[in-house]
Amino acid sequence: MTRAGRVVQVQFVLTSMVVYQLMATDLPTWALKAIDKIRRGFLWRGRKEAQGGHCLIAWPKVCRARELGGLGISDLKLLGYALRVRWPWLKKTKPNKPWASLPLQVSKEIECLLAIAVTTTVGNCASTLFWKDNWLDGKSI
Amino acid sequence: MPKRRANKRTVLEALTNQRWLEDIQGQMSSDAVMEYLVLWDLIEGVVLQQDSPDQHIWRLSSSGQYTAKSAYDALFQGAISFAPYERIWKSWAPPKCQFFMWLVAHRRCWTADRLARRNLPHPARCPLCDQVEEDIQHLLVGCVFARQFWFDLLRQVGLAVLAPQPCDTSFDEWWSKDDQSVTGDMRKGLNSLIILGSWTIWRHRNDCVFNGATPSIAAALVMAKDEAHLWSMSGAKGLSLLTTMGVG
Repeated sequence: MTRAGRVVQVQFVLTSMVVYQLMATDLPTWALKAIDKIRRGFLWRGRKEAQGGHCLIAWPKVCRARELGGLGISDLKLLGYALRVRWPWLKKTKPNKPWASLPLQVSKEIECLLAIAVTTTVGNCASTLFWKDNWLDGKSI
Repeated sequence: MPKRRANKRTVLEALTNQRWLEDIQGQMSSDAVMEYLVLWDLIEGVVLQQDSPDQHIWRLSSSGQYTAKSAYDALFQGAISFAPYERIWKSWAPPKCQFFMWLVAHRRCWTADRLARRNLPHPARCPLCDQVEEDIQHLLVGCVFARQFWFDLLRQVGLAVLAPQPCDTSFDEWWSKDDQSVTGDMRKGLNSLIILGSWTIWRHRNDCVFNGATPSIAAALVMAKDEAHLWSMSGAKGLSLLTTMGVG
C-alpha cells in the first residue's frame, strides 16, 4: 500500500476507533502516546514499530489539517477536547437530560473552549450564569 | 466574589431583587467602582421575557449548534497556513503523487544533501546532470536536465514561457509564480502537469540511481506522456483540457 493509502487508513480506521473512548473519558497522556505510536508506525512503515529514521516528518506536523501543512490526521489530545465540549454544551442547552443535574467534571481547557464558543441571547434567564456566560451583548461581565 | 457562587448564580436569580449586589464582597478599588457603575447601567436596560427560554448559540459553526468539527478546527485558530495547500491537494493527481509533493514542500525527500548529512551512501553529484551536488531544489528546477525537461513538457501544451529560468532556484517560488499566471480550469491542469513533471523527474532520478539507467530527456518525456495519458483516462479533466488545447 502506498503511504497516501495508509494516511486514509490511519485517519479513518485507527483514529475512528478511539473516538468513542475519547468522547467519554479523558484518556491519560501515556495512553494517547501509545496510540500515537501505533498510528505513526503504521503511517510510515506499515507496521507497529517505526524508528525515528523511518519517519520523514515530525508527528505534530503530520497531525494538522491539510490547510496547515499536515496530512489531515487528527491530533488526539485536541480531538478529545473538541469531543468532550459536547457535555457542558448539552447540559446548558438540554437541561431536561436525565444526567443534567449530576456533577460534570470537565478540564480547564474544555471550560475555556466553551466560554469562547458560546454566546447567549437572554429570554427568561433561567439557564444563563450571571457572572460567567456571554450574555450582555455577546460578552460576559 | 466567591467562586462557588459565581458558578451557580443564574441571571434570573441575580436580577430578582438585585441579588447580584450581594455577590460582590470586599473593598472596591476606584476602577472597580467605575466598572460597577457601567454594569449597573447595562443591567438597567435588561428586560426579562418570561415566556421565551434562553438561546445559546455555538459561535464556531454557521448553524449555531455544536459540532465536534467546528470545535476541533477552533483549536487551531491562528496557526500558520500552508501556502501550497491548494496547489497540492486540490489538483487532480493520484494521492501518492500528492504525498510526494507534500514531502517536497517540507523538503523531506531523500536527496543526496540529506543523505550526506546523515553519513549515508549517496551519489556525489546530481545523477541527472553530473555537475552540481544534488538537493531537491536543484533536482526539480535548477538542474539543466530539469529545465530542458520542463521546457519540452510545457511546450507540448503551449506554455513554454512558464518553464523555469536559470534565475529560478526555488521550486516553491517557481510553482507559485506559475500558478498565479494562469486562471480557471487551466490552473488546475497546470498544477496537475507540474506535479506530473516533478513526479516523473523524481522517478527518472531514482531509475538512474538504483537501476543504473542513463539520464535521457526523451525517456523522461515518454514516461510523462504515458502517465499523463493514464491520468486523463481516469478523470484528470484539467490535464486533458491542457493537452487538447496544446494540440489544437
